[in-house]
Amino acid sequence: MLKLSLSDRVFRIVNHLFLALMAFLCILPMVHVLAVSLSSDYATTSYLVKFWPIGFNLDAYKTALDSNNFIVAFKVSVLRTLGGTLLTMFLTMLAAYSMSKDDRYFKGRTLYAWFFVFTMLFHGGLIPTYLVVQKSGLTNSIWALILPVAVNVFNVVLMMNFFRGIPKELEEASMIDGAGHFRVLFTIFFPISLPSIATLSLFTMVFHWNSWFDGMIYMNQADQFPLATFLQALIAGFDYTKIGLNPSDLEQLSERSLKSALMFIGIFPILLVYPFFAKVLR
Amino acid sequence: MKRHRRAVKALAGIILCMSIIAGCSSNNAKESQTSEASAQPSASASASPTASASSTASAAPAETQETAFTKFDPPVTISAAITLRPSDKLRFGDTTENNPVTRWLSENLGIVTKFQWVVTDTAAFETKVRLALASGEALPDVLYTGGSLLEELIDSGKIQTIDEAYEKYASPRLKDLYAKNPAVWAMAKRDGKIIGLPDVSNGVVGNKVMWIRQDWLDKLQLKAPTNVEEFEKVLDAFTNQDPDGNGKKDTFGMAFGANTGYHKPTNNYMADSEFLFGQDQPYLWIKGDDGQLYYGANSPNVKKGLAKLNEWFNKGYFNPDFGTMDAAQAMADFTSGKAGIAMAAGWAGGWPIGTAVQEAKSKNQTLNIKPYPIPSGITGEVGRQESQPSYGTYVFRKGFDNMEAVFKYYDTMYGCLIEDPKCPFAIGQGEGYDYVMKDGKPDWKDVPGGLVSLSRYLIFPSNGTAPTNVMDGPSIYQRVAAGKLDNVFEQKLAASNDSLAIEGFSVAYQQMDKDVKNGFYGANTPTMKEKWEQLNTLEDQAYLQIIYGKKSLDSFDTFLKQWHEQGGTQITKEINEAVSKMK
Repeated sequence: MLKLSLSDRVFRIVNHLFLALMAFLCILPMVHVLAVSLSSDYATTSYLVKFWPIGFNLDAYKTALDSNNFIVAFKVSVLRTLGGTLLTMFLTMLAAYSMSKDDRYFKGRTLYAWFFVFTMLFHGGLIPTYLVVQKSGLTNSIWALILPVAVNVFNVVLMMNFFRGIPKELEEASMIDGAGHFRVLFTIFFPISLPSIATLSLFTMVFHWNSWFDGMIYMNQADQFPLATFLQALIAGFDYTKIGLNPSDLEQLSERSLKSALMFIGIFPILLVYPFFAKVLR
Repeated sequence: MKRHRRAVKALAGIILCMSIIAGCSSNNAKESQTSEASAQPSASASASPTASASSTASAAPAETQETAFTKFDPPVTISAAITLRPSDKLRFGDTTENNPVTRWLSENLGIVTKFQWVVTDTAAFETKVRLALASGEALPDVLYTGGSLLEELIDSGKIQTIDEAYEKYASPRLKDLYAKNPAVWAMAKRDGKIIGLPDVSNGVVGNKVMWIRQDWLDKLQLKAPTNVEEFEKVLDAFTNQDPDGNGKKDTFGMAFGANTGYHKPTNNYMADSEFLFGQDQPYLWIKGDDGQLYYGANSPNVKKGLAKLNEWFNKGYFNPDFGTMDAAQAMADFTSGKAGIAMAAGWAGGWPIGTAVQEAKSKNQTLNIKPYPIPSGITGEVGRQESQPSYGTYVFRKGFDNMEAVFKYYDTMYGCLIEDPKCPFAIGQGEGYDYVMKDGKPDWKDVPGGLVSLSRYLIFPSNGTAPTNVMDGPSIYQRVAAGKLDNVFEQKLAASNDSLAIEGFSVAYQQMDKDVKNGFYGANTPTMKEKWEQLNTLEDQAYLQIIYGKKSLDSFDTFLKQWHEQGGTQITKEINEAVSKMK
């Protein structure tokens, strides 16, 4: 163990305290949401709840889990996250592997590279994108949530650079032993680049879990909405200038516990993913 | 930013408050429509022998006979959009298109409900419509909308004018409804043509009453104030005479939340101070003596009102954080015993006031809150902002030709609002949802699993109460508040609403003639689109700074001058032009 000078030690302690405080600040809002979700209607609408539930009850969770749409939407979200991440990682690795090769081995590499980078710089915009998805007949299917976002060029570039850092000798040696490109990619490159793959998978998963806009525009059936689309509508809040005759509008005003419960269940699975990935990243 | 944009839209009067409803027609809907189109005339002609037979019998029952349930055969499909929320619960295996209300419609009227679009909120619905317009995708048959989206739909040429259908199919009582509420046509007529059916509000839903801590009043031996001077006395007593008796000076006279999210600091949906301005309401377009509309802030009485608020702020009559508190937070001050008076609509008697009263009861605490008519304002006149006459318009896709079914549907649902005994949902929308039968009698309270409203599955909703001007005598809220429980509508209202909410609405009805009307509910004019947001922010800050005393009262004149120079004059001109066009 390295010997630390006094000032070093003081710095360390202060630093750790500071970082712990920051981490604590990040957790507080979640604690608040959890507390609200477990509190009574009166306590939440009177803004009495801070970080500890008042009038503890689980009604909000019961309502959430008992509803028609929530569980279905949850399943759609899980499916798109898993399916989307697998597909994305597969395609990303394929693209990154081929483009990590030198121009001498892969003729026209620059052209392909530009083909990808071009999409990073220029977008079709909302309506053309929608038209493409619609005319391909993807609307109302889970593929509309997966295919249009299957390749993220930024991720491809990241992974390409990672692959480039792998010594060429490894690849050559396995080639000599008779391995083809796929074998090299999946048995040599894959295990070596696990940390980067894990990182990108995590990004992709979080992205898929949180995307709400595509669900909103491509889906027309209640059983196809991802959870994030529903949650966004909850969080976007109620437009008070539009209060009308409908009692269900008023219901919405008073549903802070329920909203918080939905939000909490909504973030929970993706929170669970982090520690799991932390193992690989270490 | 998002919030701001929303606020602009709101000002333009886009009101989509009932669950979004929009029509839709997928391919099979279209097919059935074409086949039905040909079958329809015969269906309605032979509709029901009893109906045609008895309508010849006498003239008086003709109206009721026309609304008798005649069935379309083969059935007609009407498509729309539906707003769903994650917490929705349908029971007994029902679905959005197959539940008690849609089943009733198809079994009795021969109208099949189809939800082509499912959306999560108003913003999502608007995006969907715009995408469909841009991509040429078929719109649903019926769309419920307003404001700028309505203008876009009109411009797109994708919706139809319905003058002919209205003449032909609208029942006498529907025609009567619109004849008695001509103001709503401002939203649904262009160049004299009817482009949709505006809904007509009950006119009371947002109207403020004064909620007051009766126990505090009693303790300090005060009476509910009826004018500003008395109001001030009560404020002073509630602030300084320790009404909660805890020995600390920790109470405020009134709950005031000026952070509205749409730049109208003195006009919130709860806990605001609009009564103070009497008949000179800021933020509204008010008709001047010359018949032209002017913006509310131009009245000198607005300035006086702000001066009064500043005085009250200096005396500590409301929470010093009012500038950052939204309506719900300010109301929380009231319900948790920190403030003694709150201005809020009748429904506040259910939530949040009703919730608080129940909570207090369960803990054996005293919390006695009562609604009173609002006191007169700074000029001695009573005034408050009116509820909007209409919250949206139903428009119909071009090419949709089942308008007869639409009017039948609409008329049936209208019957439920005006307490027609024939209303299919008089008792409730679905057994096991909003009522259960017990010993042959409906029970609206103890539904296993809790009350669930099925209104969102109706294209034309039936909830709410009678629109303005159509029913003689006291409103249903006033009748129920007076203890009348004769018909099933009254019994249902009494059983399914908080008594305080009923009382609140009933009090609100007492001052209907004091409502200040807004002269403009259309979409944003061109200059508004550019500058309205900025002008609103300017106004918001001017008011807040004056109330907080950061700026002198005279700065109000500077604000007005700026307002006019930065586009206000032009906007006033455009609004007056737009209004003359809507006629």
